[in-house]
Amino acid sequence: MTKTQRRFLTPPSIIITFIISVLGMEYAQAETVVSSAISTAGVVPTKASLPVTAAKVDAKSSTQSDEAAKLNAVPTIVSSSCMTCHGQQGITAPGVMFPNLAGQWAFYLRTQLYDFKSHQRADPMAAIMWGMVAPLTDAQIHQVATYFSNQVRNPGVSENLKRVEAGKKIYEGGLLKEDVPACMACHGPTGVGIPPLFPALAGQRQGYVVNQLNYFKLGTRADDPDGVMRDIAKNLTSEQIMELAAYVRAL
Amino acid sequence: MLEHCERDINTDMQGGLNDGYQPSGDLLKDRVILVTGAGDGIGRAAAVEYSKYGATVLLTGRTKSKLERVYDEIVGLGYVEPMIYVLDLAEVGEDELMQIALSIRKDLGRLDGVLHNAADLDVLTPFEHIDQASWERTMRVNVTIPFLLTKACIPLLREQKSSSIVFTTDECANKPKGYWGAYAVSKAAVQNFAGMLAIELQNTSVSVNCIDPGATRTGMRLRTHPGSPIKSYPLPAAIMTAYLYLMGPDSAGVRGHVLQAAKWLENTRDDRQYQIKGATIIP
Ligand SMILES: NC(=O)c1ccc[n+]([C@@H]2O[C@H](COP(=O)([O-])OP(=O)(O)OC[C@H]3O[C@@H](n4cnc5c(N)ncnc54)[C@H](OP(=O)(O)O)[C@@H]3O)[C@@H](O)[C@H]2O)c1
Ligand code: HEC
Ligand code: HEC
Repeated sequence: MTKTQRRFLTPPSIIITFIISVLGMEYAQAETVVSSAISTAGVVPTKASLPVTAAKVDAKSSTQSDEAAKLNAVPTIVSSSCMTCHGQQGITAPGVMFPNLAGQWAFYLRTQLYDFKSHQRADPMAAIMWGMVAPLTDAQIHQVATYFSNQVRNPGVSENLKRVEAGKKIYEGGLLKEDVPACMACHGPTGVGIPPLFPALAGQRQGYVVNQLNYFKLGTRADDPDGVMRDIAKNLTSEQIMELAAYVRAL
Repeated sequence: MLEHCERDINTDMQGGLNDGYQPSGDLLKDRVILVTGAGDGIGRAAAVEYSKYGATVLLTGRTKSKLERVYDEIVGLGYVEPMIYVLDLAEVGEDELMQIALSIRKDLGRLDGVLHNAADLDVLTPFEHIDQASWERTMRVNVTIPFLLTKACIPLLREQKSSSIVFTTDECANKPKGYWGAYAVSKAAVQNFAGMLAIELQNTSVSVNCIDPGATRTGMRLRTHPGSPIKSYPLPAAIMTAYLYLMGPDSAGVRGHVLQAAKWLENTRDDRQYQIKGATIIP
């Protein structure tokens, strides 16, 4: 029996192309996670019980705390739509392919929402978002982008130390021979990105990052200015993509 | 003198498993069963046995070459073709485990059973010599990751009319013995976790039980009891009755039990009698 004949379970990096077909399940999973989080907290979140997140409330200054409350009030569109997949605070359920939005730069979020609206972002998963943004007004896009950018980013978790270390090398030093620049140059040494153009990657879900790098590599995501990410990703192997995703998740 | 601190487990309660238990040849037909640590020892024997009774086994373990050997063995015997996923429980995290569950759904369509068999065991030593990293690795491989893997698999398991989760425990889980370190602590935790799950899932299609294999002729036994007469222990293949019983529909309604696998030794597969006569055996 030769090696190639043995059956191997699909590794995480290849699942992506099939994601649409199993989305029904993921969607259900995300929903249960969200609803169980709410029920264990014992309260259905209302404006009054909202946790104050990124914007710190200064007890002494009432104007400042009003401001903070406004920033953190959950926009209706979030609780009625976005929350199911992206979480109320912009943190998604572990293991799903939906990106965290918490703490992402507002400008980047807006750009992406318009890219979905115009179908300029047309990677295999983008169609899910096309439907979500279609009914949004400019004001709502502005509001949700601001809201999610004000939430606290997902804390980093390193899960596969070997991959994390290998990913760190590429992230900080690039790959000389393959002509891959250090990701750090644009996404920042700590992965928080550089506004307005360069998105934060820190703490992003591995599955999502693997997807996006593959989409850039295949050219199916083509909304990046000047093809900058496509140029970089085309030289990455799938193992290197896994390593980078593991490192970025750890940041 | 320190009093013996023993919590007796009821070993008579064998979940309805009888002496003459004979599983039918298609006991596990069409089922999909995930086995951790399937590359060697008891996990390997269970994987082969499950395939023989009709299950598609997802072989997981840390060493790819060992898994490939078991794969080839199963195919060579003409049993149901298994599938491999290289999975190091010391390295994996929740994201990957959730994705494995997605892959199982995509590639195999269903999941009917999980055998938590892999275990980490460092050297037996006085507790002052155990370093933190070793302690944490053992607790991770033996407790935390089985918990997360169970969590990831539960949605799939609940979809089946009857499905099983089997944890592997050890005598030292109930009888504190010196020098067994994090391993013993982890097995006690596993047994408690299994009991808790059995209760939480009592009204679902998922039954949860434990097996204590007892002294078995494997690499682990050699490590824990160096110099012991290894050939005086039964081969893993001889203790498979309890493993089959708990994985199949015959044990429906059996929940929260700890089965002693050695009690159900299959004499025909126990080679020790020949050993005593001085015949050579190939373990
Ligand atoms: N043998 C006994 O006498 C005895 C007695 C009581 C309980 N048990 C229990 O029975 C179970 C099986 O033991 P065994 O005797 O068959 O042990 P074994 O021969 O050492 O086999 C253990 C298997 O688990 C795998 N494994 C270990 N660490 C792993 C990790 N981090 N990730 C993935 N796989 C890992 C090993 O993979 P590699 O081969 O790649 O290392 C090996 O295939 C264990 O839970 C043990 O506690 C055994
Ligand atoms: C059904 C699940 C689902 C819902 C509901 C949903 N999204 Fe998404 N969202 C996704 C998926 C999947 C992606 C990744 C798309 C891709 O890869 O092209 C995504 C991507 C995004 C992105 C791009 C993130 C990045 O880092 O590039 C933004 C921004 C976003 N969603 C905002 C929203 C907003 C705002 C809403 C509510 C109006 C919403 N989403 C509702 C599934 C969903
Ligand atoms: C020259 C600047 C530059 C470098 C270097 C760079 N990126 Fe990017 N990256 C960008 C820009 C710009 C975007 C946003 C694209 C868009 O607007 O659609 C982006 C987007 C991404 C995204 C998608 C983020 C999201 O939320 O959807 C990922 C993932 C990513 N980059 C990873 C990397 C990795 C890994 C490296 C290193 C191998 C890297 N980038 C190097 C500029 C860069």
